Amino acid sequence: MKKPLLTTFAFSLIFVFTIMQAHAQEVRRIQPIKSPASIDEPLAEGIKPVKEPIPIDRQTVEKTMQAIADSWNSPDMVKTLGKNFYEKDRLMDSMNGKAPVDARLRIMSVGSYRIINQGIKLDPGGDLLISRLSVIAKTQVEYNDPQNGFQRRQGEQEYIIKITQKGVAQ
Amino acid sequence: MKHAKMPTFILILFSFLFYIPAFAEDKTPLKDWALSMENTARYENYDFWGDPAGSPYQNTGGQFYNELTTSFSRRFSDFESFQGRFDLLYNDSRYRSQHNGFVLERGNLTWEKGNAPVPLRTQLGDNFSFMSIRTIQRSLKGFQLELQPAFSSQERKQSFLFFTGAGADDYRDFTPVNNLFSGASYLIEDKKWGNYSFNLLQNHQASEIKDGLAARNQLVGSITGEKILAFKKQKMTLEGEVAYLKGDYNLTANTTETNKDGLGLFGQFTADTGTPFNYRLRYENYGRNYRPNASSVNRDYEGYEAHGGWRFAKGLNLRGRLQYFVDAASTANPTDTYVAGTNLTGPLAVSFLPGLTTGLDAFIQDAKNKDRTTNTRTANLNMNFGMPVRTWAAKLTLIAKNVENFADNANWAGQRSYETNLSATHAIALGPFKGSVTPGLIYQNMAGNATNRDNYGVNLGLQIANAMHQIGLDAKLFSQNAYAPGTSNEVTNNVGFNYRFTKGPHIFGIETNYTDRDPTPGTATGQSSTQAYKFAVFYTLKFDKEPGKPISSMFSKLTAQPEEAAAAAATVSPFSIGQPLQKAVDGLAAQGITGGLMQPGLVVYEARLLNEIDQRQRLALLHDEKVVTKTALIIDFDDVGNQSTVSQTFERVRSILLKRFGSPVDTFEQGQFSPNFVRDVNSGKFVRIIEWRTENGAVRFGIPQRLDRQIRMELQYAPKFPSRNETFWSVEEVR
Repeated sequence: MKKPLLTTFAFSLIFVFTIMQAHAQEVRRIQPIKSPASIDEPLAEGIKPVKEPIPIDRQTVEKTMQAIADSWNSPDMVKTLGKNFYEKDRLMDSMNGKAPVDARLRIMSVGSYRIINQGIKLDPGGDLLISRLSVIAKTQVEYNDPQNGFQRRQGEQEYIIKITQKGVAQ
Repeated sequence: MKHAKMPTFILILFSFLFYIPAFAEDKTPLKDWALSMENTARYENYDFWGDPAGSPYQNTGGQFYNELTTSFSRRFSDFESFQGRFDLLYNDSRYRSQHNGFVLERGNLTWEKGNAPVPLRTQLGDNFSFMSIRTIQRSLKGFQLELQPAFSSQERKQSFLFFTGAGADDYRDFTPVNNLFSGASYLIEDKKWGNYSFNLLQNHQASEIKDGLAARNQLVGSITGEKILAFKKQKMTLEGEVAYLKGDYNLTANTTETNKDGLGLFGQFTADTGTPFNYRLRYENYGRNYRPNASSVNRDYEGYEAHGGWRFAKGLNLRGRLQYFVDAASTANPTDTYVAGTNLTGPLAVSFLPGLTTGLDAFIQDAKNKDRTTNTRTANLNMNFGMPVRTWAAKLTLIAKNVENFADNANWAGQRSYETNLSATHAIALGPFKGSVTPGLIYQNMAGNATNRDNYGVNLGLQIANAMHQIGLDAKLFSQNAYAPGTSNEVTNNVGFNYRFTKGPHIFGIETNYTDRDPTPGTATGQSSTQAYKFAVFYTLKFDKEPGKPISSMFSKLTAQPEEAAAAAATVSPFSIGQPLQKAVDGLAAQGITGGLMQPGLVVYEARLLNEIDQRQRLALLHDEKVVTKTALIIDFDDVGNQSTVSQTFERVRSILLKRFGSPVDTFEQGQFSPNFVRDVNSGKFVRIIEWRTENGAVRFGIPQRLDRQIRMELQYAPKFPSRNETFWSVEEVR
């Protein structure tokens, strides 16, 4: 059973962090299956499927998760949220209005992760590998309350992150 | 006894890994498969002294875990592929998993066949199930099948999606019936008529003895639609969803609502007017009993939103928003929230502050419920500025917040806070190590609502690296000074250090963190000081096998002999590294490249090495007083403000290099050449990196980000380069 990250905040437990926009959406879209009738059909505008799945190493995932934690409760946090992140404005307003100014997010451990889908963004200058991953992480919000001392709130969440890495010509 | 398993496990693992090559022959049945294995063994030690309540780490002592990820894939034809991945954890850490021992955390097998009578994609194990934000959007462990029967017209596509699976963190004690989701979705996308889907989702939650909850079932159905409309220059997108829930849902941790009906509505209108102005209108309404278990929407909620934006010619963006939300909408005491906000980002043309970029976000929020037990007004202003100051990249952030409380019988009238952050980054070089240092200051002031305190802080960040070693240091001193009765001051010191050694498939790392928390007067409030630390050491080993190669190729990097030091080049090339500095200078002189300007650690020549290019070119030889360690050709742009010529010049140089070096082994491209080109480069949003491998190192070409914010192309030759995510890879010494 997952525990809430910080129960005083009314925001979703499923975070959708986006390093680069490509698939943010309200409803499902068709992810084309390559067939004789649709050989070169793109996954989305300017996105083609990968020939072979390309592993994303743990160091890259951990580094991305740390960057997300570092931006938490800072003005840069909004930059890590996807364009269509559900109730993004309300979350940021809630953070600005209710979160203790010294509250920080510590990554306790990065658990398993899985690539949900991958695509290559075509560009004349070289291709970009765009991977959407599901990552489980244990986190801890920490701040100091002058009356009650050190406060910490542990949680475990599923993060959906998008990593744009490098051009992969396949 | 607890840790006796560790070395045993590692021995078994590595015995297995090294055993494989003995059987590796070209006839291996896995020859056509791509294989990848990554193993990380990690040992951590935690401890603290003093007041346990002040420690960020509550579990002390040694913590060990080992993660083994195995992925494999095979492409049978252009239209058929199979792939899988398994994440196996051996855990003896309280921080990593709730289970000890072996845990299969994730497993997935995917088969895709496009040349079947009906193109299909099926997944067994972990899959991500998504129909809409209002129905389901989460990872499941189970089964998923997607069918995409083709229409005769290419203008129309359809998809049938079926899935069933449980929401669980891992496969240990896997009991799907505890929280089982089953769904079906039909989606049709028509270029003329739009996109429409019909979704059905069922969820079953088993009874819970602990909280005394009975079994719960709910059924959610929804219809979605999306249509793009064009009117003159305007492109408008209309989206909507109607959803209905019937069944049970959890009201709190130990109470449920049963046999309820709930309705969810969503509509959004987005318009790109073909002018700098764009806008978006949004409406949401979720009934008192609309609470799907796999959705993150709020029940009993209504929201109206209007957003508008204006894009100025020189990259400045202005956004505004008006929002109205109602929480607990159907109750006798709903809470209304009104928000008005504005946002400004981009470069500001201030003649006496060249290179200034700014971000401004401000909003006012009124929140009040009907009986006025909640009645607050929050005003928030957030400003950040960045600009080069001599050789530093400076950043200033100012935040102000004011909350007024008008609630009846409130015991506080208001609360305000101010925050200032100032930091600056400077490039540094320590022998062969290069990197950056970032000192910073922070000041916070809070008052009202029984709060009265000042916080002061000093930060220091340091990152340095060479070809194989990376070192990072983060130190922070933070002092909280509370003046209200019954409160305590606190001084916190925090130091984090990390080290990475990377060579071929091996990565070795150390991570430490030390925290010293010292409340004063600690005894008055029952608190005393706490010192806590975390020490971690890990080792990662990676293997990869490409299709068509034998399994033994996975291990070739382990047994390969280290490359011999480069022999002195018979003929001196401007791009030779590893040769004596004097020999390089003499060799260049013999080719007519003279007049090098000597600077500490480098020699810079005005030299046009790419004859096809008219732009200014400079050759830099970086050295350690004895040998050349890196060479760089710096190519200026004529006018970085002219997007067209910048793009053309870059493409021309790249074309020349592609002819000379052949296909690159690596390219990394982010952002587009646009009117915001300069700003995008300086903010790290625009990246161009192309790399080629040579016998002794690598060649990199691109447009790096610089601390002095100059925009230029650089072609560098070095044994190794920082990762592509590090955008500051320029030779900063050459200005």
